[in-house]
Amino acid sequence: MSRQQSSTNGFADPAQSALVASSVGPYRPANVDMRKMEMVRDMNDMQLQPSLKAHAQRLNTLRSNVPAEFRPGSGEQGISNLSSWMTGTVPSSVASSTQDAMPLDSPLASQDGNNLTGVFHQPSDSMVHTMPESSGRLPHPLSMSTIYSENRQRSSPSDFRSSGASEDPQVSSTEPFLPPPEPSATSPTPLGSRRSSSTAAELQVVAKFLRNSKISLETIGAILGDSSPDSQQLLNVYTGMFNFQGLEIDEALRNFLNSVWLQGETQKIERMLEVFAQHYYTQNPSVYNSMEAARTMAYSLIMLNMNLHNPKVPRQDRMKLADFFKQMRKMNVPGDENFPEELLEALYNRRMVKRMLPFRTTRLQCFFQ
Amino acid sequence: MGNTFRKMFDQLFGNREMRVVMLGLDAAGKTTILYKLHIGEILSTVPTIGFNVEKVQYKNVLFTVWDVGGQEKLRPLWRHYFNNTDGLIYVVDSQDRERVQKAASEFKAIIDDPLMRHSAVLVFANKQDLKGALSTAEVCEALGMSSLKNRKWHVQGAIAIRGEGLYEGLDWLANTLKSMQRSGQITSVTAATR
Repeated sequence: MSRQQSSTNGFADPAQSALVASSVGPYRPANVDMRKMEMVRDMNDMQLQPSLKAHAQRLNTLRSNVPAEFRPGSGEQGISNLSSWMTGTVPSSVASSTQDAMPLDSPLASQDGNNLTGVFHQPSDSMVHTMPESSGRLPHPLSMSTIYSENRQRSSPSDFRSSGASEDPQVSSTEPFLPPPEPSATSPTPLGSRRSSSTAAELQVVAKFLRNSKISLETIGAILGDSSPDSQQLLNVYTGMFNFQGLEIDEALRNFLNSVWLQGETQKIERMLEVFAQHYYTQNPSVYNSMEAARTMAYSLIMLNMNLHNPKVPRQDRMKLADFFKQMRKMNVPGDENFPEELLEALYNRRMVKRMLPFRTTRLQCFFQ
Repeated sequence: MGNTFRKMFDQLFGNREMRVVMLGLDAAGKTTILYKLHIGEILSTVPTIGFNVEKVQYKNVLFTVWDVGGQEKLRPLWRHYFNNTDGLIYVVDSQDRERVQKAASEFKAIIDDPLMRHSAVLVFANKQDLKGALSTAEVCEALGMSSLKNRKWHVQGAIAIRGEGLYEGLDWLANTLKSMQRSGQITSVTAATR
């Protein structure tokens, strides 16, 4: 037989390629809710305490403990006052105090600033203003978002690090800057590198937040399924919060899927199932031969779910039990053994009857089910 | 009953049903292509947990496109869907020069699968709009298309997010499969005959 006709059809036509060259914006997957992503990123950027509650409390303390001479005035002046307080320096205009501009509603506001834990630094006239003046006009200088964004802009978050008693809150007035913090496992890294390595505590907080919040499962799925290192760390922590002990793998998977929506790109699903299987295997080491076997099983169950319950799957493609056996033949690694047939049959029958549907879907969807 | 009538109707008007598998490395643009192509009615409002499947009707041909992918170790699980497959769509991220070798070796593994030996091959050289993207000819060379024997193949430049090039590719696939079947060529392999 002769070789078949072949062809290429690119954008060789200059007119067309010119059309093509007028480029579009950055590619974003359609189903990712960018605002939610932003929110999570913001949370990553904050110096997170072991729990959100503690964090909120600390913010309240912060708000009420801004010492008088740093209390924001109006506009740029107030912002630079605040920012210099946060960086531990004194604004040049401290002498002409602007404390009356913003009354603070907390009862703590009337107290002296010195009771602040770990964050407050003794102001001194010899200090230099170190904040860049680029911070634009913000609606409310002491609002939470201000603190966050100021926090985000600072080059070193070290002085914002801990509210515990470990750090000396007082800095001698001759030192313009804080001494660099000791590198430790829990201390946050500088802004540039924080993207790739979040601390365990931060991840815990975000994972807990995701699990308890009302964020849609699709969004959680989009966040956790992302291929960035942060997302993958978060996925590890998130999955680690589940208890699969003593559960059959399909029940465990069902539990897991009640808290995250697993749909879409194969690679995304695969990443998530890999972490799931790892966690399942460590909690139930006796059920499957290896982590790989558990992963294969989880993967095939998701496939089976799609096959049996997705209306777009043509009828002739629906798997019979025999097909399922055939599909799983020699998939039990290591050693390419077969999975026990009773196990497969039980899994198949359960999946046949019960489609995987997270309970947090809407009533309407449940009706259609 | 309705199904029978539909089949008769389809035969009368030359509608055909084709099975197409879409593969490619992650972030190549499979999902985007799938949902750009999907312009037909929405069959169900119930989202199903699991992998992407879409039915696309185009020029009397009903494509069922499976977004298949993932690690080689799990590929055997997908073999059920390689059965009776008439066409393969392989999506390459033209901009990802580092992984083009990986894409090529995966492509080779898929092409060599016995269940795929007759299917027509459509390659989308995706992301042509991005700076530094490989041209279609370069993608062609990187995948070693010229060494494919006895295969119908086609490399199509595409910009999936804008839908450019996708229907040209499908056109080719639909016409090729139709003409192959008209001339009595086999386009798919069932597992039983293997």
